[in-house]
Amino acid sequence: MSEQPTLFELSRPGRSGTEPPEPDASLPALADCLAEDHLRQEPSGLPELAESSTVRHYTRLSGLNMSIDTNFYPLGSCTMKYNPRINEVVASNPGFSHVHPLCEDHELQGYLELFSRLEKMLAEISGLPHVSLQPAAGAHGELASLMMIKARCRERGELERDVVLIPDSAHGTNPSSCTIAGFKTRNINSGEDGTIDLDSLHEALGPDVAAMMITNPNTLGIFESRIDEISALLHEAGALLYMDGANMNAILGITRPGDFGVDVMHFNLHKTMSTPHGGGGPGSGPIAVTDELEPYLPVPRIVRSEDGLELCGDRPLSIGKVRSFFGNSGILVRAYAFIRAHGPEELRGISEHAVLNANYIRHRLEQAYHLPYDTPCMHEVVFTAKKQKAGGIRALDIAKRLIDLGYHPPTIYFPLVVHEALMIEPTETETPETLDRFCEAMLQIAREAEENPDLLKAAPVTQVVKRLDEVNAVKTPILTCPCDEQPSEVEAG
Amino acid sequence: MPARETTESGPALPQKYSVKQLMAYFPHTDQDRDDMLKALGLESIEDLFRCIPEKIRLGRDLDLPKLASEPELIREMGSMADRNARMDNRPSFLGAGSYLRFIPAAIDSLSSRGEFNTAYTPYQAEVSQGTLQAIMEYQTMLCQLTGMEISNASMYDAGTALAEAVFMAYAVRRKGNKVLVSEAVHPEYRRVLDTYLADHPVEAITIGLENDLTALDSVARSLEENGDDVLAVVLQNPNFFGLIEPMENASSLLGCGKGEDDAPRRDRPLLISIVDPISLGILKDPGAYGADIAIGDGQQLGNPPNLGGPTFGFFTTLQEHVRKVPGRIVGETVDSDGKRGYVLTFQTREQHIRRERATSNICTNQGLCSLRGAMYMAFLGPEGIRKVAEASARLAHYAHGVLTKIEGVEAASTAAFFQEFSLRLPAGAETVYRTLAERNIGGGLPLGRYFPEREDEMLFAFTELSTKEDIDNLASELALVFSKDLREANA
Repeated sequence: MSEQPTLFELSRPGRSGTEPPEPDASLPALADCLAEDHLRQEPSGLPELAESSTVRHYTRLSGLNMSIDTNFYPLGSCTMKYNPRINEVVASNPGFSHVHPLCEDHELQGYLELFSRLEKMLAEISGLPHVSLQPAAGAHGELASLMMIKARCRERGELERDVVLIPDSAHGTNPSSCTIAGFKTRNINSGEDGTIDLDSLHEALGPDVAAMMITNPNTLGIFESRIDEISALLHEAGALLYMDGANMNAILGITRPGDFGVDVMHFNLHKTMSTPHGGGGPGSGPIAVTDELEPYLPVPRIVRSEDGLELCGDRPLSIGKVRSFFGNSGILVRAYAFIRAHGPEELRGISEHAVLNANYIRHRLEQAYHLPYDTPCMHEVVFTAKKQKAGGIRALDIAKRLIDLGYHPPTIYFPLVVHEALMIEPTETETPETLDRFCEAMLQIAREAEENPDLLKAAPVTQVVKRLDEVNAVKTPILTCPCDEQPSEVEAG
Repeated sequence: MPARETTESGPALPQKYSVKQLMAYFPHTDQDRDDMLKALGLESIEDLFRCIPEKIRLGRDLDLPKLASEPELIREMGSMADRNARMDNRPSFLGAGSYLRFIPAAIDSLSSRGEFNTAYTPYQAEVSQGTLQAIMEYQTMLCQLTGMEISNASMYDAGTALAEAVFMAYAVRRKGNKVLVSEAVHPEYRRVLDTYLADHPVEAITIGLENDLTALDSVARSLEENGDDVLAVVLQNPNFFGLIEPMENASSLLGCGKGEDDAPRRDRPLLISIVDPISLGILKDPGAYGADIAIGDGQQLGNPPNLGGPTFGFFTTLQEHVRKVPGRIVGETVDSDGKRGYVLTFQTREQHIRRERATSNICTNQGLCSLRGAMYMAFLGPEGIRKVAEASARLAHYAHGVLTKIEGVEAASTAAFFQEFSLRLPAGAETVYRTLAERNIGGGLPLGRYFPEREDEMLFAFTELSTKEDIDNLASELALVFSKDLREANA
């Protein structure tokens, strides 16, 4: 693997990668269209490359990534499962991709039909009757939900309810979304078994609490088995229960948030419904709610009239629009395809195989790595580097050594409640052979931690770069590529 | 490929495996499952779920349609796609923030590579150098285009980027709770901002229009009235009506930028500029007129309209504000051998570290769409984007000339425009839109949808994919419609 020069280093004045359509010569000249003082004085400093060089550049860059298509990617909490190609094929249909968002409703009947069906499917999966597909990502769904909870407090004259309870194992987006929605947060401790400590919950519950945010299974991969008690406590106190749906991959068709007392939740379609993560996005974070919260859902809503499906913006209690136009429609198309390709049985099968795979890894590694909680896991398992730490090895070192053995590392140092956490989520699409090989690698690393710790500390050595200095990146910030220098002598063959 | 068979009647639960046959999606054979369960000391898959109390179990199959095979899915979804109006199989003049443009063929093939598309957020830098370098180059190219100093890795869209920009201005200024927002900012973006501000101390004040341009007199008056309470002014250029705003005047009104002999005024409201990235091929960039934050929607950079999403929002600003920026930022560093590499940086701003004190709650962004944006900028280069912008502007000006010659049609504004303009029509714009649709022409946007008082106005957009013939045809169809209307009115 060799370093790839930047686009700017490859740039040569006068080259061009593509030829946009040439306008008709008889059109008015630019000078007759726009006055000189509107125009930019200098051309933009974008790089200048031939098409072939740019294709090679990005192809080579792609080779510097690990991805699901190339490697086992057991990144906990992220549900890195195989992304079926059929989803890409259906979404690339120009009848979906080349559609303008401001067409009239009757020109969008295919899309609205798909959305309407997808809403119904997600309602059935969540056990919550109403769904909005608009949030662009999980954190966006959280924010929209919290805004709805706030709007409900306002409507009921309960603005003194300005606290949201958050377990110490929660994703960082939970407290962060609370702040934007105008809530304060109050911490709830995890108990010895890794689930919510009910005493801590009792203590924290008061007339100032608007809601609690849970993740179930939680980020330790453990099912909150007293969830019905938790939801009853909250409801008795006049508060709502929110569920972060990041871990829905564990419970599809087995239990439903609406059935265990959740009032509002978000889905991560880019996790559970296998739409590709795209190197960081786009995702999609639909929200599902009870009848009581339905009036607060973002606009537009899809409604059925005599003329077909319509987008309705006239909703007096709605929190309003959470993004321009509709949702991440292209992602919704992929998620619809995924659910249709599975049906009820295979959807349940997803969770069965995801949980089977995670427990298998837990079983194979429980001697070599410390398990912070004895409780059986669901779709992911959290180990720690406690046993290795005695010899000076940290979770980070284990993660980096895994890279050299051909695996994407698990999530590390999360959840925060576990020190030196290694959070492994294999997903349902991995073969037992892959799991076995991965476990062998993890066992080898546990041995190396004792016998040859320097090997771990020096890792990775197989990639285009060795361990990168993140502190230096902040101390000496370089946030754009140098582009004013003379072209370098480096030429990518 | 034959359709996969499904069981006719719902399975009786509990059973050993709910998936009876070997389904294509799961790699496990019956033998695999047996071996794994045996290793775990379990009898059945059901045993794995003992931690879930019986009383909250579903105990039945989900009520969902039976699974569809690939050919069935292609047929079903193809017929849904057929019921949507496309922009690429008829002339279309819809714009207003979403545009059909030429996308180099190589972008589809490169961005669909699994190594990009099926990778996660590049937290593990050493195995994500491809994504990280691509983002670093994206940040750089956006800075080149906008004239700004730094860029983040992307936001959801322009509407949410605007909300984040206002939050950032609030954090930077540390005083004031009013933001002046021009009525010529896209109504969708303004609505998103209103939603985000509902529970935030900042209040948005709308600034009215003159000749469909932001009334700078009103901005000046509001600044005088509200003094230090104004933390930022939001303008869009070209504005929602396609018109070129007096950005330099606005900038000097606020005291932005670095004058020749005058030190920059630091204690002042920030200028937030929403820009059309393609327009920057020919129009003055926000860096040149001293904007503090420049944001916008990147759809036009290599992404199809996608019903408005996924696209991506871009977010650029000045280096001094780096610790207040929302979302991910990539930076250059060195590895343990001193070799160049890239990492996510300034992560202490972000939700996974700073939690309730983070600059934003954004985690997943629009990575693949912004990658396509980077590829677009790389393939087109400075000359390509200039040409695209110039062609769009020239076609629009040609159309303006032709369309305003039609009897009863007049321009809604006399101000200079880029590639989009609004016309007052002698009939309701919604009716005209439908009439054009019957003639297989995608009309412009009836402005009554956003501005009830403008129901006779239509906003027409032109890109480099518009043709002179399509414009001539649009003009003659409109002339025909209106002359018929006139005849009928006179009859």
